[in-house]
Amino acid sequence: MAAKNDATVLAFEKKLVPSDGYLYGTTWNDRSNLKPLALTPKSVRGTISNRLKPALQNDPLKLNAEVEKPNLQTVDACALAEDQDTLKLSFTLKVLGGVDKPSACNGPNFNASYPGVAQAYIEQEGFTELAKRYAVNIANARYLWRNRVGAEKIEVVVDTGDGEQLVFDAKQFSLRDFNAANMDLQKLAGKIADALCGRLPYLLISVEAYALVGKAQEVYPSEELILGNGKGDKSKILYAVNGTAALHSQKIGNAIRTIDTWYPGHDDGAIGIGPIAIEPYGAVTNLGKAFRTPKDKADFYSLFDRFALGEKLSNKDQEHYVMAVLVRGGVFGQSGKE
Amino acid sequence: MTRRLLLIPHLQIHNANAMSSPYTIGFPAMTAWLGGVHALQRHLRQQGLTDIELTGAAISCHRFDLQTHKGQGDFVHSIVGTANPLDKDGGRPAFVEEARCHLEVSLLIELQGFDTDERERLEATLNQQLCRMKWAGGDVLAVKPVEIHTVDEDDDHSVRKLLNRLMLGYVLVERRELMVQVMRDEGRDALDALLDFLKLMHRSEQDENGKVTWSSQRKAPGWLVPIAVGFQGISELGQAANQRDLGTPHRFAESVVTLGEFKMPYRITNLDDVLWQYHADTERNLYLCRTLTAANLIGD
Amino acid sequence: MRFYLEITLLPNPEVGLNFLWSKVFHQLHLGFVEMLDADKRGAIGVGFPKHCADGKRLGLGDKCRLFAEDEATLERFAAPQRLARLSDYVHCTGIRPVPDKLLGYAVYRRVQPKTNPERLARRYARRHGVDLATALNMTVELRAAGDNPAYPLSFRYCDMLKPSVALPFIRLQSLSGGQTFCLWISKTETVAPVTGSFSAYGLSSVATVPEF
Repeated sequence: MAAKNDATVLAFEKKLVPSDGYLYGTTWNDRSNLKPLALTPKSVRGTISNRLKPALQNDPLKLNAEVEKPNLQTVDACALAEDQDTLKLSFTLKVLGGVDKPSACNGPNFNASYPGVAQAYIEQEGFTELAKRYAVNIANARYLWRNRVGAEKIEVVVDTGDGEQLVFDAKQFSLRDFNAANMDLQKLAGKIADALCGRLPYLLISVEAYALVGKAQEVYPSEELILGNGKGDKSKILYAVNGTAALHSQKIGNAIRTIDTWYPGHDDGAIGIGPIAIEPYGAVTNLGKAFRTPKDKADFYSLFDRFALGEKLSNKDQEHYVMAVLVRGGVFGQSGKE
Repeated sequence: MTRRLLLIPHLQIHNANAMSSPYTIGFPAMTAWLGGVHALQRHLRQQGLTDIELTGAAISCHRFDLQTHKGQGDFVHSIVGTANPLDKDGGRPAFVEEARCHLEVSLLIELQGFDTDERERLEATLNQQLCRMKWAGGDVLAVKPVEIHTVDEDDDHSVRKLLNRLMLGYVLVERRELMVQVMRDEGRDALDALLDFLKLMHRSEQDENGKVTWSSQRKAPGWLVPIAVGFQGISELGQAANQRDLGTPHRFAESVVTLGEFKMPYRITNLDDVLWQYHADTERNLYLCRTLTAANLIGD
Repeated sequence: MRFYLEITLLPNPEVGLNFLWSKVFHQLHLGFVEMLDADKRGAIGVGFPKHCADGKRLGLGDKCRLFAEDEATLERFAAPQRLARLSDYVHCTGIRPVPDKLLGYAVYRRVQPKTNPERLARRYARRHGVDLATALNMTVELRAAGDNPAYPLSFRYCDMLKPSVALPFIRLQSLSGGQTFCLWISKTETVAPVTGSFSAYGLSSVATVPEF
């Protein structure tokens, strides 16, 4: 290929637009009784992080002198009430088309080639594979994050705006693969695909997830990232909107696009950790690790520069990945590279 | 005179850019709002509504939730950030201090070139497009169906009825004349003039019994805010490497910041007090958003 | 110890290993408590084949094994059912005989820092004939502490810090109160097996489990 990706300014708007997720406490058997969950500040004693000197360890008197150095911390906490056994999370997800049109682009070669490439993908694939994976992640309630662990039952109620509710038993859908087959799931996936292909002007999905976690159990809203030193005496600040504990929209989006099973090492038990979120370098924040490195030519930029100019990638999976990054959106111009 | 106005009621926006100006955070800059209106007009024209012109816009803010945090005992607020994805080595890139806000606004947009036969088509196109757009860099979560109103400017009642639709909220009006006055009468430079109106003066007074009372005051009443309203070109028109759009000439520019005021809609009497319009002064290389009322007051 | 089953934790990008250990071990602990005999002795021992505590690397890895002398005990424990709620995050093998070829044996012991304020308060309570809550919250007067002004003249046990230990641990919630505490686990390798009973955490200070 003689042509070069000449777009120095290149940006795509995200096509999956989640809202924040609001957290409520309720009961499994009577969901009409619903209360927003509030954050409560909690005092905790910090642990002495470094090991104590032996002399100190055995002498409560000396230890106490150490203790006099104040180490009291306040953290935000969130929990169901004594009479609530079920956590409800609700959010909306908007699905948009137009992945063939960058929101900003200045490369003549790129502009001449990319829209055709994207339209060919839409024509051949119809976004069915990606839509199915997004739908599974709506059905399996992955976006509950830690709130999902240990729940006895999880039910997801989805409304796509046509008056018919789709109800999923989240535990019937794996977090590890996307092989599920189910009529309602196909319906949901079909609508998502329609919106991504531009056959619908847009799709607004409202999602309500109910997790039976047990009475008074702890709940995990998003943690706030305070820039600078403005935390006061709090060491953990959780997210709330108008007094209701919440999950950040970014967090919900990250869970829904956790569909990448195509990264190098996915099938290797020693490396793979199941599906990861669609990211340009396959980065997983929790692990501080990038699974798609430029060294392996598996990162988005290596693949996209070829794909956008009409070169065939070595397999369909890589095309799915590239298109999924564009659905995610972002700034991908040359200056956006490291 | 009758005027046609388009009401976009209760637009809920998530994670909008809260840079009011290059130096301040708060309500998104006026350039962002008129930019959105202009994008809407371009879309309508692409959809075949080629005569439609959106010539001015008022904005009323119903809810504003700036993503900052002030811990107990902190002197200042801190920005609540979002983490960027890890880099190619799995390392954490530097945090970028980008102020964000969630807000709910209503927009009142002056409509010209509107043919009543096209009402349904216009409304349908708008309702669809509004959900697909971004405003001030934020995502639209929800919006109520648009309304097209006709008001007779000579009939106070009809203007009032429409302005009431912007309640409960605060409408942003231009107060550039305050700065002009201080610069002219007191010989202050523009930045000092701006700061004069924003700073809070604490004064103490002692009565004959020796009792001290403190009072806090601003230079002028009202909820005055600094707001970016446009750009001052600082280079010739030309071409630059890697410019955003090869088909449009490029010019380096600086932000123009002035004073605005948030006012309750019931205190507004004239539509031109609240409708902001684009104004290009090519002699002075100024690209501005302004209200006709302020422009008339100043006489430019 | 002739039979075992192995539990593998499956962390994913949303849920980390430490959080999973808390959830998994909580369930196991409930089971061990149920199976204690009248003398509070348990027949199931836990091993952590990836336990690591050298220098800076601390961790339990992603696996634990439950050992018992006979198959029936492990069947009665019914690990898969106990962990059913965690099935998306945990893999549980069937019950298998312990292999003949072993690397050796190990003791997995709970370690509690001596200065844990609750333990000190308990000791104080015994010696002074008060109940634990009182001992924790009362102000304890100290004898003159010499010239060092850094030494206070009185303190309360409940104000003391909870120290940490350089061993892998699992953060657990106590079954009685809502307090969280750290279960520190040390590993000592031995050549010969030692039989004995296990605690409600599946740990022991003497009894070994096989390593392989």
